Amino acid sequence: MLDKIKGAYYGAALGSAIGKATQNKAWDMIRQQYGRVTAFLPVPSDAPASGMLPEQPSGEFENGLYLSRHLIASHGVASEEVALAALKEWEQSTDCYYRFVDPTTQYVINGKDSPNRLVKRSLWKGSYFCLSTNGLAVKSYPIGLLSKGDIDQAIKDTYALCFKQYQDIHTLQAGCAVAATVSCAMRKDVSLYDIIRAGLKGAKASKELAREKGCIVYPGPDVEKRMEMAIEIGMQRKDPQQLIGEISDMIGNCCMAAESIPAVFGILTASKGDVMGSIYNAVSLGNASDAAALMCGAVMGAWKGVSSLDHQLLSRLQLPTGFDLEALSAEMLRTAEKRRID
Amino acid sequence: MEYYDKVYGALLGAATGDAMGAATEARTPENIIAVFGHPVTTFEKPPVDAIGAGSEAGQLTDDFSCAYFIASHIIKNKGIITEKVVENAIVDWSEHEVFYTRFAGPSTRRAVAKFKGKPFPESTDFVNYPFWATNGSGMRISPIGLFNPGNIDQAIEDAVTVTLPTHANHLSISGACAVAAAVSCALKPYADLYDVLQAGLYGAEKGEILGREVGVIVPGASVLRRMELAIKIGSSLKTPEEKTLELADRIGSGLHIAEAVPSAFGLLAAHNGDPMAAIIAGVNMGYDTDTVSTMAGGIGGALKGKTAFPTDFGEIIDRMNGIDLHGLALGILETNRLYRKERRA
Repeated sequence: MLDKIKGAYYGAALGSAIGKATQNKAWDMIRQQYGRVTAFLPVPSDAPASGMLPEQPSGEFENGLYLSRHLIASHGVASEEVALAALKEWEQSTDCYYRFVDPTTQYVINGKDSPNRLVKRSLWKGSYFCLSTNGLAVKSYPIGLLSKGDIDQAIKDTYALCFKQYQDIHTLQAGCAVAATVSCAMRKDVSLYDIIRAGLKGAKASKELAREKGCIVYPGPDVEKRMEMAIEIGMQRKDPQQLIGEISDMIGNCCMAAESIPAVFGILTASKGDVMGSIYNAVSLGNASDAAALMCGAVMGAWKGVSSLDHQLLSRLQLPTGFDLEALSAEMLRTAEKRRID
Repeated sequence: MEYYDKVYGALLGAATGDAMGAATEARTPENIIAVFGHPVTTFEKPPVDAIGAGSEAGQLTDDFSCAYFIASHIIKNKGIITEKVVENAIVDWSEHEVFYTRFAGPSTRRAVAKFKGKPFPESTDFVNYPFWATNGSGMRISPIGLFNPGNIDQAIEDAVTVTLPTHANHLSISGACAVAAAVSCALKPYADLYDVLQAGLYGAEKGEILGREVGVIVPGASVLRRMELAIKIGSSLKTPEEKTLELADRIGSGLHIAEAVPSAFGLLAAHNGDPMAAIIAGVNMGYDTDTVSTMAGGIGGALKGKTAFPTDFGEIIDRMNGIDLHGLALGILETNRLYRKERRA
């Protein structure tokens, strides 16, 4: 279990670090400029992570670490207070958080003191720019780690943490899909097929739950249907490089929930169980590549453990100051084992 | 069918889609039913929480109003289509209190600030390329097809010129070229839906190639590939309602160019090219309903002509917006006859 938890954290860190150099680029330009990206690259000056070292994970990675710390402090009990405290700490931790925060989370942070914030505003133009993004999904993998393979519990915990903050179906579906798939990956002897199915279950079950709870529905494409489309593409008998283009062209990979999370599942399917391959392929997608590679790294690392990751790259990682992934993983394991679920 | 009927039909279709969509923009399909109590099938007053709140039934938003200004400026400039003509038209339009101030999208606002030499406050200190590929390029482009009846390649070339001042990226250019090419093709005397859909795909493909040469290559889903899927969904044997839902769920109908343009083509395929049916479906599919319906209405109107619309719609649009669609159609015909004849197919 410890190996799996470490695998998720280090996999997420590697994906985030490698992926930040290709963020906001088009997939075909990445291929033309770099070929297949399998190393830490200098960050271009026009990228959000400009100024960071090649070996540093992007700011989004820290978001999940703060959430992990607060989950440990609450003995694994997921609540809105835990999520808000973690978010606040992340916001105040770095002067460049705003470069990595997704529009949905930024909205949560800015408007969290106003319970009626949505009612007071005119309708938003739509989820592409504003409300339904991958902000919850990039930090929901620790919830899956704590669940010890209980997929339903992972979905419930994601809700308990973030229902009131995010409120909209697409964002919650995205977060629950990733938490559920990581939860499944924590089990022994599961296949890639099981893991992908768990993600679909997370998206489907959370949609039903969200509707029951009267969640807000913003306009936009359906996360679950887009996931099915991406998985269908990923299953095609084509070269993974072709499939990357196909996923990017048909699904897209911007920070929107209905692009980013389906793209991750397409890449997981297309990578046929190759842990580092899935990270490299997510990096090659471009657009929100750091988020996609972070999520692929977390899922695949949880499935196959830290030993499946590239040790040379791991040895060069520059982790955020104040975080020790070895200690954090051990504490997460203790918290998961001692955790009481009512 | 008279050539005039097609030109007027395209203008009326685009205006109708825009004005009907103003009431439902930014909502989900469920929310539209909840708010209105029925599917929206005619002009309705935008509710108080809508982007178009304050407008009356039949009033336009930014979509067709911008197209109207561009077409008027091209007529004034004797059919000449240059970036400068477009820039002047957009600056002129931006002075309009209702059409611009309340509705203009992010890419257009950035461009207008540049034209006027004013600073534009960016939300990030890095270049956010994924957010560049918006659908403003498609919403205003249908008149460019009208100035190039049957000359699809010239329509594509002119669409690139018109798009560059505000949406200089390969995806927005691709989407604009798809719409302009489809409208241009629809003006041919014996054009059918198949021809128009094929012209749209050709426009998207060629527009993407040209866009890569003259614009910024931005990350994002492909307009062409999503159009292929949207047309496949629209051409399936499901009911029109089922196909509209599939388009909303799988393609999307939002601000991104690779959602709105493909969905407009998918709706036309789903409704056999009937512009009113495609507009009604677009208006009720949710999200950026006015833009999707403007494009579907413009293309379908050029294909089916003015008789595809209720007889009083033209008068309502003119009266509620202080415009003259009939005069604009005559101006386009006259401009084509006098100045652009050599470019006709």
